[in-house]
Amino acid sequence: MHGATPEHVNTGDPDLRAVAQPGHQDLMSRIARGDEQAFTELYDLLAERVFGLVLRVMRDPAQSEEVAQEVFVELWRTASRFQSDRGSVTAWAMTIAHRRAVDRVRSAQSTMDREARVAAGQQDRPFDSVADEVAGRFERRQVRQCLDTLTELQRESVGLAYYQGYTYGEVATLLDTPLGTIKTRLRDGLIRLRDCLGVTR
Amino acid sequence: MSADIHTLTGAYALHALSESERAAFEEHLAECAACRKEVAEMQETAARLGSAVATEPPESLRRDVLAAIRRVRQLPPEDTNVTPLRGRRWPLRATSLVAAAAAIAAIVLGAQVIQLSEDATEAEQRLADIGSRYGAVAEMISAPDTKIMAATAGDMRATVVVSPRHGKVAFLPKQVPEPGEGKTYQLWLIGRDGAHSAGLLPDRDTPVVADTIRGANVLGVTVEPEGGSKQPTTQPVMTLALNS
Repeated sequence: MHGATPEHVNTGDPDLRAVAQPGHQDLMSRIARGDEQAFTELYDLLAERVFGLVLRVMRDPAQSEEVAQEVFVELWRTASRFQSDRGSVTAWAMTIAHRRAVDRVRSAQSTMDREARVAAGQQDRPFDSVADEVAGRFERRQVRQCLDTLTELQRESVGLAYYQGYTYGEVATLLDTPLGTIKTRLRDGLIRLRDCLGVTR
Repeated sequence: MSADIHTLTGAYALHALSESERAAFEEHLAECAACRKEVAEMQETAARLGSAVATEPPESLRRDVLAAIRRVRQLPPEDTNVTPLRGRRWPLRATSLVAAAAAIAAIVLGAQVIQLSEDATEAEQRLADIGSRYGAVAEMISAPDTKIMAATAGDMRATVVVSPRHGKVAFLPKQVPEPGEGKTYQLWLIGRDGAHSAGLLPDRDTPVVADTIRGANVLGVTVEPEGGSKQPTTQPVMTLALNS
C-alpha cells in the first residue's frame, strides 16, 4: 500500500487532520445523545465537503443548499446508527450526501433532459476540467495525483458516475463502451484509487 | 460468490446502479463479507473524491441546518434490549414462553435481571423463576390486539399490558414506593358499574394479572389496609385509561 503516510497527513491543514482521524466515535456518541453543540462541530467539520459534493453533482446552488440541509438533518436523525467499525464519519456522511444528490438529479423532473443529453452523447462538462478544478490544497493535489494513475477509461468512468451522478448504463452509452467493461472499470479504478490514497480499514 | 455480481461493488459504491440492480446487490451484500469490506473501502475512497471538490457553503446553510435539527427527533439506537413499549408484540413461534417472559422481565425490571456473567445453573434458575412469574404475561403478549403501556404516577412506575382478546390486563410493577406500615396496594378495574378489585400487589416486583377486564376502561391503584378492601377507600395513586 502506498500513498498517504502519517507525515503527509500532518502537514498543517487542520481540516485535513480532522478528516484523517478515524472514527470520531466520541463526537457521534454525543450527537446520538442529542448534543447540539457536538452536532455543530460535525457541521463545521463536514459542511464544505458535503456542500461541495452535492453542488458538483447537482450544479444548481439553490437546490444544492436544500439537499445539503436534508443531508445534515439525516446525519442528526440517524447519528445513533453510525458504527465506527464500519467506516469513518466522513465516508458515512459523504455516502449519504452523494446518494441524496444522485437521487435528486435522477428524479422524474430531470429525467428527460438527462436522457436527451445522454442520447446526444454530450456531457456538458468534460471530466478533465473537473480534475483541474481540484488542484490546490494537499488533499486535492493527492486526489489529482491518484486520478492520474488511472487509465483514461477508468478515470472517465469514475468521474462520470461519481461527479455527475450517471448510472453505469449511462456511462456506457456516453463512452460508447460495453456495459460489462464499464462495470469492471469502475471497480478497477476505485481499487487503484483506494491503494493510491492509502485507504484502509 | 458469483464473480459477476462481485464486480458491481464499484458501481454500487458510486450509486451508479439502477434501483432494481441495487436491491439485488444489497441482498448479495448481506451474505458476502468480502463484498461488504470492499464496498466500505470504496465508500471511503469515494469520500476522498468528494472531499476534493469541497466548496464553502453559503452562511445561511449553517443557520438553517442548526434550526432544522431542533425540530427533528432522532432515531433511537438500533440494537440492544431496548424495546419500544407501545404496541410491541413478541412472536412466540420460535421462542419459548420462558424466553419471552425473560424479555418482559428485562423490560420491566431493567437489564440486571439476566447477567451473562452468571454461571449457567444460576441463570437457569433465574429464568425458571422469571418464567413462572411472567409466563401468563408472555401468553397475553402473543395476542394480536395486545397493547403495552408505560405508566408513571408520582414515584410509581409500571408497565401495563392489556389484551382485550384474552380479556386480561397485567400490571407489572417497575418502581413501587413503600405503601406504609400495615398498608398494601390494591388494583381496581373501573367501568360504568363501578370499581372491582383486580387483586393486591403481593410485593414490589411480581406482576398481577386480572382476567376480568370486560366492561372496565380504567385501571386504578389505591393504598388500602393490609388484606385489601371491597371498594376503594382512598384516592387512587395511579389511574390509567385502558382503551387509550
